Amino acid sequence: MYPLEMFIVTTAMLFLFGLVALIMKRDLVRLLIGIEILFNAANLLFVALSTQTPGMIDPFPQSIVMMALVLDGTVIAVGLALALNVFKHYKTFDIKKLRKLKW
Amino acid sequence: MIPMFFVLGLVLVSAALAVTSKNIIYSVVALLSTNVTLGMAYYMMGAPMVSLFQLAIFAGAVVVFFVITVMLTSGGDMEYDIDPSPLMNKKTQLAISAIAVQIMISASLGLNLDFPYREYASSAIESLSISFGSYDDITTAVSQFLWQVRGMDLIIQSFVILTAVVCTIAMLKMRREDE
Repeated sequence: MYPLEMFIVTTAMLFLFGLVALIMKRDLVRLLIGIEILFNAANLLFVALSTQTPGMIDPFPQSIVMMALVLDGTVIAVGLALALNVFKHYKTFDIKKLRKLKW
Repeated sequence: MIPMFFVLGLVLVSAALAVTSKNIIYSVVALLSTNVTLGMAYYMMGAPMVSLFQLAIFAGAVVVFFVITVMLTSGGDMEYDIDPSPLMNKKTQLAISAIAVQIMISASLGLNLDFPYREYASSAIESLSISFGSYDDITTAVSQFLWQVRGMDLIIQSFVILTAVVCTIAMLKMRREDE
């Protein structure tokens, strides 16, 4: 059993990196990279909290994280397909130039 | 404990590289490194099935999707045309660095966190827990748990994935017809 503190610190830093990517970047692909880092942070904390009982393994969080991983993969795949369509129409990934999508 | 520190450090460094790299190809490679090191961390924590899924889906399929997107759109060349965001000034970078350093210092001072996991877990879940033995036992227990307890979730999830696949194919097909 590993101490919980280092996982919480790693998760907080990963969450911070993902949030920084979402706030500061204007490239659609980089935004998806930030979203994937956020997914990774959530999954890591979930698995870390499940291993805090000495000598025991709980299959429930592991199965939940496995399902979440598959769904995260589909989310990223659909997002990348959307990004490809956006690039085809607007010839850019820059979200500042995609103002025609606004109401 | 030292190898886990090393692996988690690699995760953080590669995630920082994925976010801050100028060239998007380097970002995707750093993301691949993040996912592979996270898979190693899951394996060391005693979650071999999660590690397998992490390596197969995130380090395999998703990174391939990213590479294909960058190749089809020449996104690596385009990144340099984008001006830096107004939020990305020195003050913001300093503030984020200060928050990160504060988190690290408070962690190193010892939060003494204790997560009383057993107090919140229901008795049914507690009875399904297994002792930390070989990885074969863990894999078998997780597979049994998935099919016996979360079977309906798996079936619904397969419909969600099917819908996502159909949507993705429809979007890409529309793209090809327009060309």
